[in-house]
Amino acid sequence: MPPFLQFVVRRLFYALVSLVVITMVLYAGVMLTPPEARARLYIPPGKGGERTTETTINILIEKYHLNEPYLVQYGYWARELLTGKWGYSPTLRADVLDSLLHRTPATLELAFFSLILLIPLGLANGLKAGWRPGGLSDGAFRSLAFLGTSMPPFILSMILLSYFYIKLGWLEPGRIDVTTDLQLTRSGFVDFTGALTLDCLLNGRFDVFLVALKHMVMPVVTLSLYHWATLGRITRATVMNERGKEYITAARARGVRENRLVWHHALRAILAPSLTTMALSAASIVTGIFVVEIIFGRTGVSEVIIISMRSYPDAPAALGFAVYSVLMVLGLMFILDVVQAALDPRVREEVLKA
Amino acid sequence: MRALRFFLSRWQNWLGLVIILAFAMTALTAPLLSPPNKTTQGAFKKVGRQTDKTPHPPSEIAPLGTLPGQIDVYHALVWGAREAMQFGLLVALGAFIFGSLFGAIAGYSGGMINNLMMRIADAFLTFPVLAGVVFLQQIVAVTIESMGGIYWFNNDYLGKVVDFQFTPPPFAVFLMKVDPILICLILFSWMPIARLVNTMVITIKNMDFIQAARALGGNPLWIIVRHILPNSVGPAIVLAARDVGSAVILQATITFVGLGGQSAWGMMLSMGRNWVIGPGGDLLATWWVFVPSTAALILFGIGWNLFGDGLAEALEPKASHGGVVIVKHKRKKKAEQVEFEPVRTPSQAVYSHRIAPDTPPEQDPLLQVARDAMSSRDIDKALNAYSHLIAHGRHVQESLDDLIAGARKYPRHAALWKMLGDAFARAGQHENAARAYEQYNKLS
Repeated sequence: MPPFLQFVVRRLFYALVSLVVITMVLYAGVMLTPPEARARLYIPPGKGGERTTETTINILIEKYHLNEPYLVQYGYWARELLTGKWGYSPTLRADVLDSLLHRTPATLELAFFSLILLIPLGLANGLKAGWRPGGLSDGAFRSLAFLGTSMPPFILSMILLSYFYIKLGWLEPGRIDVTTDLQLTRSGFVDFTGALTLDCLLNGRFDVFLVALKHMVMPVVTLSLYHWATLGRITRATVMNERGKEYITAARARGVRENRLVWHHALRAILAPSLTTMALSAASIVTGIFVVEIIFGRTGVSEVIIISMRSYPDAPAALGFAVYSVLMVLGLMFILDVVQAALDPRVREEVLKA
Repeated sequence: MRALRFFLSRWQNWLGLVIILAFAMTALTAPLLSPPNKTTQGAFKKVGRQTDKTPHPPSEIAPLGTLPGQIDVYHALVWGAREAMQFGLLVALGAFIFGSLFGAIAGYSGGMINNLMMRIADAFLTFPVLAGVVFLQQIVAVTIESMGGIYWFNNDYLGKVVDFQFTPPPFAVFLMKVDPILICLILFSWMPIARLVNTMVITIKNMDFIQAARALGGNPLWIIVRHILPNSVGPAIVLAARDVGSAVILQATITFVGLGGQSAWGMMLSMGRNWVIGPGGDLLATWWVFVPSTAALILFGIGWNLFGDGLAEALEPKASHGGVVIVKHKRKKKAEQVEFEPVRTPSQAVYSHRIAPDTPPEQDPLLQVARDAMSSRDIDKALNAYSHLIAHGRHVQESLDDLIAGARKYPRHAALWKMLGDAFARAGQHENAARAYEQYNKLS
């Protein structure tokens, strides 16, 4: 097997182990509740939601072995998860997995645009700033990064909304405005993927693409600023350490131009530590995505929890959402790891040696 | 002391300290700064008709103006500081206690158990807080419902409803009292602390003084709490200090997006969210609605971050300078001290802590280690232990006696004579010291 593929397989295995451990922890949380409460995870549609009768509950307890020891119960629950039966959510009035899946493209779209923006920018700005600490670009970067890390995203989003949406009217929240939406349906617009920007390109509708981008700007800026700042700071610290190393001096002595030194030699050395930090904060990035989605009214995955917290208790939705968001985090971590390994051979070797 | 001086030598740390102290003072004196009356509910005080949904500018009854619904901004700001401080410190304390115990127990057990426990810690890292917050609240809600209670997150007419038609069972009462957001934030911020303590415990646990404590028959939990944790909590406190600010901001975020929580500052922002742009499209027309709470939140975060960064840097000056150590106050080394400063081993920091100089010699584990090693002829180990004792001026007389006996027993051992010289010098017997050093020179 080629080493890169070996690396990927190994990473996948780690992700799987993490998934098993975290679902066990989650189910241990569920185990803190009495069996009657656990039975509510399995209530099928049409059985009355919160007004289920005692007999139904007892049948469910019997059917899903809810009085057995922890590991047995976990086994049954995990089997249900794997076969795609994530339960029926009474508040959403839909199957949990289905409602999560059909909201996913919107979330992925937002995540994609933010990461595509913030990772290269964070690396480039951090590199530029750390190469000449105390210089003009360093000063500018540090003050902006300070603002980015100390400004809570929800306050930033509130200010952006008030200024650019309410006052100037340049940008808009949500995914698309009602007028465009109505026209789309009539003009035979096909939803290939569910991600609006991608669909626009596939349908060849560049005017709608621009509209979709207009709705994307504020969430992307809000989401990116904080993580851009943290990524840039770490890159800056790494570069400051790296630029005095001998290989840089040697390259400079060979007559390598300063630009090439920064964007070629130093960049490769800092990729691994910076992206590792990114991967470690994957959970906070995903939380950030949810928060931004909720504030800007983008109907992504987080709509599920908003609806489930709106009226009566809905445990299946919350549990399904928890598992799903862990899957998203693991996926993000996996992608960052693979990108990092593709760019830096040292990372591959280290993992394979371990 | 060096760390403290380093900490106080930078203006950022002073700024952080001043901000935190200001918030702490506000929190402590809240009842004096803004006395509650019968219209107060939590951090909110009504100063007008609730149906009046226009925010009014600062006036005599409301020094910082009012929010929509005539809620006094000043009162909410002051009492919000009190709640935020309590909440942040509780989260940090909870994460600190849980994390360090978890890490220490895992590290002390070692082997498979350590691996498994650290895997669990890693697993928590892959969990987005928002999902956890919702999950925990739903679990609580479902439990209360299955006990026969009524639980509504948001009823159309009444808002949140938690009610029992009969006397609720004690467990349900407990569940209704606990703040799920608090528990959740603790659950999602202990992992870095556990990791850190775990690494330190693994390094410390094989050192001599722990072996000694184990030999004395101490039970594992006692050894962890009494000997291992005190030596590894420093950096963990730094991590916990950084958590205070982020916990409060996260709580405000959760409150703002409407997923529960009772952050007063978050509620102020969410009540005033339609008034960021005032009438006429002017950004600062109704500034009192959002500027005070925003400023409070941002300052609170900045203060604790600066404080945490400063602490980290002071405790480990290498950490954030990219390898360049900037030490402004260099301690002058005294000549006599340099002469017999022992070899710097990682264990030295441990040896120097936590054992009061006036412990009776029979109870000093280090002296025991030294004597045991001497009697089992492991002279190098014994000398290492004695060198620590002498360097810290602990039981110099006993060590001196032991060393004299040792020198009589092993007169050809050069290092022993040198150590004897050190001991004499420390005890102030310079002539004897000189003679011992002479002997050492002859032998080596």
